[in-house]
Amino acid sequence: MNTEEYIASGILESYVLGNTTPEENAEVEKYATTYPEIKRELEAIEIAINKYATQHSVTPPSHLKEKILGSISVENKTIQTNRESIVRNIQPTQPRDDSSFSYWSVAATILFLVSAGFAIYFYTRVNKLDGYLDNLTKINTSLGDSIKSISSNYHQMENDLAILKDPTYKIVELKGLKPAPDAKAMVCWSPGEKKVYIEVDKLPAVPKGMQYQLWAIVDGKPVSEGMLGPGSGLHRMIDVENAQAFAITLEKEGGSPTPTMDAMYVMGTV
Amino acid sequence: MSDKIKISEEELIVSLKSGDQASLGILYDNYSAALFGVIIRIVESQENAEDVLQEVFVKIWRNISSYDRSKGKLYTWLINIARNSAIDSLRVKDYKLKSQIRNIDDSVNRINKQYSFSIHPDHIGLKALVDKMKPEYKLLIDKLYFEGYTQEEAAEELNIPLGTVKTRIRSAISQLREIFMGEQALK
Repeated sequence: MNTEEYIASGILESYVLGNTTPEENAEVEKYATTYPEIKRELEAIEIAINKYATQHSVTPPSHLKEKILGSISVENKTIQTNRESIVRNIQPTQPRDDSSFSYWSVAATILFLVSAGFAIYFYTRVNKLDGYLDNLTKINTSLGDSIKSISSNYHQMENDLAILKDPTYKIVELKGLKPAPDAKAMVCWSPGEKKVYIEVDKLPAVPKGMQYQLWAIVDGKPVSEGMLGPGSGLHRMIDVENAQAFAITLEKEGGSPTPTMDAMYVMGTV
Repeated sequence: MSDKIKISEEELIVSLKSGDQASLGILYDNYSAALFGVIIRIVESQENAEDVLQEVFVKIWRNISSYDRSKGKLYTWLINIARNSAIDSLRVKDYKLKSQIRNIDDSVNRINKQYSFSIHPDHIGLKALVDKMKPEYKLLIDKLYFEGYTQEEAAEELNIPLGTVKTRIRSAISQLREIFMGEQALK
């Protein structure tokens, strides 16, 4: 459609002045929603006409305001009674009269609008609540994960504490040697149950491709107790029946059959 | 109008639609003078104009739910109700609209004597500006807008072809728009 031609036809002016037919009104309203330039033109015409009307303002007598607003307030109160009297006045043999019909259509329209309003209101509420629910679910999941990790830490600590409190375990302190005088570790060993646990307090960071290895000294000979993994707390190592000392050396990843003596970091006797 | 509105038009419409009677008071304060100005130009008697204004506010109150903002401004909607009610009241009283030859200046003078105009500082300047409109433009807009003439009736009344009426309407409103635009540029 040629919007310029449409605007130039003068129909928008006639529309605003109220000189158009219902068919023309529908057409103008349709085009105004489709073409922004027609909507803009229509609004500009409206503003001009409205200003023209405003210029002819005449303030009504002051007593009129109270009278008019009062009559509307009374009307509102009597709607209920009017409605009842209309219902009573309808005779079964008479055709429904126009005024009650229009009353009922207004009432139905109001009811429809009110329920549509509620529907829209609840629809937006539900959408909002859905969003909240999603968030809560996410928070819940992350809280669950935290609890799992806290409880697994707690179990580990509980186990560690039970071992430390157990009188059958011997606590062997491993002290730092020449390569790292500050290094410190602890071995818990139960001669009866043969179980060995290690806890590293402080050891230099492991270079790439290397790994710490625990040794038990049994009758003067080193026996491998396994490799030290990452993580804190007590770690179970290979069982040993009879040990006089424990030591940790730095070995290549995976361990060695015999300890590298000049890479011994800590050692302690039972 | 801007000097009177205390809440936005949108808020006013929402609270009117929700059935809040206090908002009707605000609507009255903001628009009654404009509506009364339209009504009194059509019915020309104070008593009738007051009755029509009351009828107009009752209609507004009953029909506000059918007002659709996307189809036009609230002001236009209100003025249309006032215009139509005033014209209907003439028909009910069996007036012959076409035989009513009214001299607009006379009617304005008469109104001036009977009523105090509401003084809007904006509108004093505006009135002088609107007086710059070509007289034949003013006459046509007044017939069509305030007196409810159809374009055919206006053509007959003013003794000009219908085609001229149509082109004259567009020229008249272009001139109005230019006047208001000029006024805005001066501010």
